[in-house]
Amino acid sequence: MVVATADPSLTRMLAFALDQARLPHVAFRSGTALLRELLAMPVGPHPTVVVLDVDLPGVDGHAILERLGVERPNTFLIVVLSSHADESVQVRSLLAGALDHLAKPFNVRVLMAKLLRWTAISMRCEASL
Amino acid sequence: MTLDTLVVALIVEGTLILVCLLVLVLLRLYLAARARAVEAGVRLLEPALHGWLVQNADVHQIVELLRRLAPGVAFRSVARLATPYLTLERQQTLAPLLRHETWVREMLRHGQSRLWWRRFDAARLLSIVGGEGDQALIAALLHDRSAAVRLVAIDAAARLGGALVDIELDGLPLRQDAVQAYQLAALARYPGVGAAALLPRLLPDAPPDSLNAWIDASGALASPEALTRVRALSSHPRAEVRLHVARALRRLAEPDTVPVLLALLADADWRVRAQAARALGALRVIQATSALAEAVRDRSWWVRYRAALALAQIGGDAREALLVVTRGEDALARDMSILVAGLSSAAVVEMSEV
Repeated sequence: MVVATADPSLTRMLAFALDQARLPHVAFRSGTALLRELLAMPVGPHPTVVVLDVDLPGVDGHAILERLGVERPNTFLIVVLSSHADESVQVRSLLAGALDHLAKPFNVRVLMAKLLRWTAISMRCEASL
Repeated sequence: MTLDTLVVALIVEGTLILVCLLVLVLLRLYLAARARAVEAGVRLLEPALHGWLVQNADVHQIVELLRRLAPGVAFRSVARLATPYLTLERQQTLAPLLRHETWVREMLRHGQSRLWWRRFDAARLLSIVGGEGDQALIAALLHDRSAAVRLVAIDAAARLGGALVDIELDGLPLRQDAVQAYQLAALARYPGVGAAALLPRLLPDAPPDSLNAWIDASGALASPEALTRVRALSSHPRAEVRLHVARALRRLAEPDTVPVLLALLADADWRVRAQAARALGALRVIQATSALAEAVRDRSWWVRYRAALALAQIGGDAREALLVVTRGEDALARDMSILVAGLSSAAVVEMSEV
């Protein structure tokens, strides 16, 4: 699983929660590094779950979503975190290919339940969403 | 002017510049030290917070840890952690445990300070821990002379509801647009409270300016009860009110909304027609396809623009209808439909909201 947020406290919270759930994860703090890594990642049989904070330095979350939609369609299961709960922001995330959009403050236990579910779905998928 | 006078002026000016630089350096050092203290506070709280939020561990540990911090650091640490993690449900658990802590009482005493930033901190803290007993202080902060304090107090008022929300709604029409937008966003976090206060206000004989603001608030809350009342105002004699009705109805996805919006799409006022087209697109009303295709030929640029965007938003047959217009004889309609048909779906969503 990939976690991308510029907030170190949020990174630590998600790392703790993912460790508790025994979900292996790697963290990124910049949109540029994340995008480079995701584009270079070999396409495996199962889609990778990505927790993506919209407010990233470098390239923002929406731009990453749009780029992945073009260059790596059906390769990632992406859940977007954002401090914006506006309808338009949520619709934009979902139309750009996000699986879900969670506005802050979000319930960490609910997020974890969703991540476990999506990870299970990802393991059943053959990279075709 | 003599040379002596110039030298004195130079010395005075130089001294002032040095003092300003010194103040700036000291302020920067102070802010850096405070940021480090808050970071340390956040780090101290995090293990207990993680335990509470992820494993439902005992919340009292967080309360104990906060007692060890200086009041200002405790407040800033809680405020920083509240933004991403404290949902309303969690906040309702934590607030009563913190409200009577010594550091909280000390910070809230600043609610009557002469310094605005202290009142700002008190208002921010009230938005996290405020209870029924704080209504008077929150009401006072809602009328504060500093706009920043008033904005933060809105959060506290919306969380507690009751008479405080009445104060907010009565003041809504008088606020500037940016403050109004923040106020609506704060109310939207507690939609039930806001909707209950709006219902008795949504009457045809209410003052039009106030009515428009309350209609906007109903749209921002997306409350079905409030928006049903708004829908009944669609034949209001004032075009301004009908315009706000059309805009708000894009949040009421019900079959009964469709004929109302179609009627507004034929309104005499172009602003109402444009907003009706926007709402039909937002609600993805397939039955509106032919009316929207006709509206792309409207005499008003804005109506043509909104109608074309709506067809693109609805997609499927509606998008086909838009493409038909691109080949039509009406030059204005053809230009508009070509412009909108070339937009990506993300651009359509983004432009429809502006």
